[in-house]
Amino acid sequence: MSLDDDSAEYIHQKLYRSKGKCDVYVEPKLKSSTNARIPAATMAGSSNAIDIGAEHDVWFHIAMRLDPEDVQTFGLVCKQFAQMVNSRVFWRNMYRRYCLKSGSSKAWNLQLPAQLQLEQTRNCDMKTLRSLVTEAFFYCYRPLKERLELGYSLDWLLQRSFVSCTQNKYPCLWIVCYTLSNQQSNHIQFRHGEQEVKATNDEIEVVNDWEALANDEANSSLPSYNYEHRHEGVVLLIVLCRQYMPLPLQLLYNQQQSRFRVKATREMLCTDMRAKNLELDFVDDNNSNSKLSVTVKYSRIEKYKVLPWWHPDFKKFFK
Amino acid sequence: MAVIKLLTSDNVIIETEMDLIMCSGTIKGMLESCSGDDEIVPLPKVRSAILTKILQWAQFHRYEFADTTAEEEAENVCGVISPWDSDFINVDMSTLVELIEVANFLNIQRLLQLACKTAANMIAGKTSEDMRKILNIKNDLTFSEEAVMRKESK
Repeated sequence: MSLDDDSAEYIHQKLYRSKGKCDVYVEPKLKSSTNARIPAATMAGSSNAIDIGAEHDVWFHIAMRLDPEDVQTFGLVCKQFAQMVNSRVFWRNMYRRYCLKSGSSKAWNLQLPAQLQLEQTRNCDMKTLRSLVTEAFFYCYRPLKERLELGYSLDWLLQRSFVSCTQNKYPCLWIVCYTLSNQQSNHIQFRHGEQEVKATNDEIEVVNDWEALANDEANSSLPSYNYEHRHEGVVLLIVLCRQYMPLPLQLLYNQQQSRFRVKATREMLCTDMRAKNLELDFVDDNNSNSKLSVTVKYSRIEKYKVLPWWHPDFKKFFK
Repeated sequence: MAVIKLLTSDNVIIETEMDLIMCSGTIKGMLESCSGDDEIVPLPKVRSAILTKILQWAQFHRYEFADTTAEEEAENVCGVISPWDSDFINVDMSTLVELIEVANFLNIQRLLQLACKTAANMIAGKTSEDMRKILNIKNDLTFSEEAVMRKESK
């Protein structure tokens, strides 16, 4: 049924219902056709003062061939480009190019988990779609896939400051989640349930850490605005073990006065060689006179994992 | 061998083989709807210099058109650019943009793909400021808009 037919029927119904009651002024509401295809030029948004004189379609076609690494910088060129990279069609195209094998629009990609399959991207808004596609890149797009496969060892936790620790019980299993941070001179706030933990990290020297160095550079060049991701520099250590291991009281209750950082980590084989033990040494930097040291020992752990802030599984554990 | 006459925007008539220009979906469609054999096909958006370049590209790839389907062309998104194509497309930005416009207008998917991918490669790994210089675009984003964009895309 066309729009005009729709309107005519609506008016007819209104008049029929109000017959003999009173005079009714009917103003048909125009329905927007949601399924109508929008031309590429319209999607590209408003025009910009472009000296080359290119049409919007040209920029749109170029945008559709961008690599994922260039999307952010491309979007920051001008408003028109920003609108392009903030459209559903752009992210659908990204997904099709990198996450669907041989450009097929129906196939399942077995590299992707169920929540990132094509079907899940159909009925979501642009931001959700962008988030899904970005997450899918970690499974399909080689540079990010390699980064994920590389994994992170316990050494990556060294010198990071302790922020909080949560322990959750599952049948036959305890999942311990340490939140550690490397942000310096920043007041970072993380919410853990209703408890708000404030961390100030002024005196820690982090070496051999590209993220911290990058942050320093960014801070010095842009003093008025901090462009960091709110979780940037945060690392989670997830430990799976069979038995409950209480957290030392110093770590639990001294968070306001003390600044514990990871001094050393040890992963050792058990005597029966069937499992591993994990030990974490924390040292308090605020007590400069007598450095307080705390060691947490997890015996016979099932598994551990280090998750940086950009990892797709980070949000599952970070609360 | 059938010959077709193409009238460009700068009023130049270029004669070319019918088979050669059949890579263009637009001209193919126009010819199918035309009845006369000796008609001149007007191309108001195409300059003669660009059309000559496109015909040069079509001449080199003429035997490949028959073997590839539209789906295969679309799939070749991340394809490697051949040395000949790389040499062919080694032009300044304004010519490249014009090539994209014309390839889009004439509906030549492979050439559009080649030109767009080349343009995307030219700006790959560059900063936003560098991209503006390459594409000759003015920044109309306010500081707050830029900040929101950065925050969202993290």
